[in-house]
Amino acid sequence: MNHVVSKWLIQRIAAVLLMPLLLWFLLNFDNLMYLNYSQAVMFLKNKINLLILSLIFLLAFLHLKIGMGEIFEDYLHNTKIKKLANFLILLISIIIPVAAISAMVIVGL
Amino acid sequence: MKQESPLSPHLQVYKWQLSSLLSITHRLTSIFNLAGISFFGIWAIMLFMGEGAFYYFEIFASTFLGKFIFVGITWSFSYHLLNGIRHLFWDFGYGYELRIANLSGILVLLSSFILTMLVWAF
Repeated sequence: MNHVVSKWLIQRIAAVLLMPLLLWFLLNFDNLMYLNYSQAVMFLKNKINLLILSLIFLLAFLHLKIGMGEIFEDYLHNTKIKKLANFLILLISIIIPVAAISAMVIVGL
Repeated sequence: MKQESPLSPHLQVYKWQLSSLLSITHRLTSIFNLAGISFFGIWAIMLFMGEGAFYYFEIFASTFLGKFIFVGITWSFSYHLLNGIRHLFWDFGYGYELRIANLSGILVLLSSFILTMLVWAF
């Protein structure tokens, strides 16, 4: 499969998988943000919560790495700046999920 | 080597209409969503840092600004999720008729506010 086509497909697959997970996240969001420390720890000790939140981080950053690349393709004129922007998004897409998932796993296990 | 690539027409070229407005909003919400999920990453990291660090998050959450940001994130994710369904239909070749595209657009916009209210009003 052509590289661009497989990227396009991966982005859509990530989107479809994210839909139910994100809906679950949104319906819990109002409670989640107002949990105190011990309640938040308890929330992450539930393995299903931990798994869903970790999947959201992985899939969301996979989805947005490709999506942001599409935006850069449309609006960044200079090839060097475009490459730099793509590199920065790649960096962010690795660092944030790795940091967040590690933090949640350590708290939850 | 050629350093400059062709661009998509810039936003001010288009006449304002529902379809373009919703499309721009889809991309804007993608950027808000990046900020939103990163913000949630901060929640996870402060939790990891312990009770003392997490206390600052609790204080922030109790402010009006905190609530405003949470509701904003909810709407941004809701819109992007719902409009994403619309995009998937287009990917499969459905829903391009002008009347349908406008109708689904209005439906998405209304639903995004309803979902946000569902999350926060109950």
